[in-house]
Amino acid sequence: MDIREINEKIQQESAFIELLNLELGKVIIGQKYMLDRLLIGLLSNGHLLLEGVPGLAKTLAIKSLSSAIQAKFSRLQFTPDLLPADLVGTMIYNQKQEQFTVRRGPLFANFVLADEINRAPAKVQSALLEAMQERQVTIGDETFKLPEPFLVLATQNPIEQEGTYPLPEAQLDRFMLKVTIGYPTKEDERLIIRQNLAQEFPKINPVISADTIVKARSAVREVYMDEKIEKYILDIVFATRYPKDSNLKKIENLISYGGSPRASINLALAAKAYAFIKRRGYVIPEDVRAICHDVMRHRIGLTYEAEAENITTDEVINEVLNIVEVP
Amino acid sequence: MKRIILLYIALLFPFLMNGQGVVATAKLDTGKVVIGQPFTLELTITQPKSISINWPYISDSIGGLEVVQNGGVDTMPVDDQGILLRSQKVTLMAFDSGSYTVPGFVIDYNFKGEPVKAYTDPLQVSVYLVPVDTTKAIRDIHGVVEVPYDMFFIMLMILLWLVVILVVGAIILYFINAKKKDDLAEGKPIIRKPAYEIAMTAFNELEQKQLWQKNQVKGYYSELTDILRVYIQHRWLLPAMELTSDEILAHGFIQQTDKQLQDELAYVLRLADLVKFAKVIPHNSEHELSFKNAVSFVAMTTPEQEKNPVVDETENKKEVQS
Repeated sequence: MDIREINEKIQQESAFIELLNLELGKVIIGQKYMLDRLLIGLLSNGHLLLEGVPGLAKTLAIKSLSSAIQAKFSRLQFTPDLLPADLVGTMIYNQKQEQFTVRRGPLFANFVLADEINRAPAKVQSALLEAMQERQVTIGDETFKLPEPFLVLATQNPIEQEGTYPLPEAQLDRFMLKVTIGYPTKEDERLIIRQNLAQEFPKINPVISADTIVKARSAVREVYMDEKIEKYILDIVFATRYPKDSNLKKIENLISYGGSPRASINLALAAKAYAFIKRRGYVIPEDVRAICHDVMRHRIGLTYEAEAENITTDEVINEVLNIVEVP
Repeated sequence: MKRIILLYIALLFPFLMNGQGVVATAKLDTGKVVIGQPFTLELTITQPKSISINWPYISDSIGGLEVVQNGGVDTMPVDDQGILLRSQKVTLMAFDSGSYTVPGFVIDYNFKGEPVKAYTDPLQVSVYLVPVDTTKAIRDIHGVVEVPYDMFFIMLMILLWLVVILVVGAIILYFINAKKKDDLAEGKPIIRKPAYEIAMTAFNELEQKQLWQKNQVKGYYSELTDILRVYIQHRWLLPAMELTSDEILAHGFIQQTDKQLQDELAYVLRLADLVKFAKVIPHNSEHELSFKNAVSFVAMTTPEQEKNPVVDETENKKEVQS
């Protein structure tokens, strides 16, 4: 397809983005960064891990998004006594019919908020992550497909780490993005206070359907990515794996392992989704750089030396981006 | 001189007059030895070359003394008259104290058909014990003596290495200076080329390549933006090669330039992004305009003195002389 046609198609298909942003903006003040990442996850069929202190409108954001898309939303509060069946569902014996019937769990929703995922034991985390990957759940002998679109927004609290079950690296890799959110600005927080003290809380109206999202996903895949951008993505990911070869000897001792091939795939996908949100039919280096931290943050392992010096993966990514040449 | 010769003949005369012409002597190098101390017995026989003698047999021991080493018989001529001097050295050792007698040796030979004997005198040797001071206490033998560090040797080695390092360093410096002087003599500039000169040379080369005329539009814009990025990197020390177009345009140094120049730069970078990443093929006039804008940006952001540098030749000459 010609690039102009792609551009025109993307312009048309992405028209709902503004509408969605306007609707969400009625209740969510600030947090544009988080909303953009939610859309990227939604459009590129990925899942998000959100890290931030409580009270930053994480639940409100995903609840509002599901309302605006006219989709089913469910929230799961992860606790140490949670069981996999509490998530996926179980077989219940029906005395009247004298047989076991399936009772589907809260995972059967379009938007799932897995609140404080690291508070549940590994078997529950595995059940969720398997469902995220396979997009289907097996209860008894039957396998059920999860609804489309299916987006999991898992949250982690960066403080209070006692009694938690940190996600293993292999399972972290299954999240397309790990988004770190901070406090709103003073001006935004002033508006939040006013809004909450007002008599009426704005209501979110459905502006698009779930089908629109499914359709937009195929449009996202059509966004043109030049081979120069592909090379740029590979250069970034390879620099995290072999820093010495990329003239990054000074961070060689800080990285224990670099980004996996899943990192390259997700970086390319997320860059396309970002270009789509920006209503462009092609990817530019700015798209890759804009999304790079969120894709790579949880995919780079730091050494003990780095941890001892309080160096974060974001700092390592900054070093990589400062060295890798932009095409 | 005559007297000496006569005296020599007079001394030799009794032996010669003995009729046999064979003289045998034995002597020890010492008459007193400590137990276990080796000493030498030397048997010497002077004889005419024409006489055949039976050399005395030396067994494993002589008069109670152990033969440690039995040297061979050594023969040398004494004069032109056919007189030979033959000798044998025997190393002896005693393992008990006391007085020992080395018996005289008997030398058998024939003279004018008659059997004749020559004799050596018996020799006396006293063997003593090692003197021991019994008044002192018994002590253990000395331990292993540690060899002290030879500071002189260490200092010598350090000095040697220092000399080697200095010599190698001097050789390297010599070659570096020689190269520098050669460059100066050839008029090669030591300082790096100014950003303006680098950019203008690259623009000329790009123009000569005629890339867009050969339908290599993507390559043309890649090179054009690379020239601008390298220029920005040199001019403002920005890592422009690692920055995106938006990041370059938003940078403080670029924001401080004239608004028109910013627009010209933005035009080139944004159009180049479209060509590089969105397969856009601009019109020929846009290629020319991009080139013109790029050159204009470089020219307008370069200080005048950099465009027309004054080369101080005398300074170069001074360096050559030094």
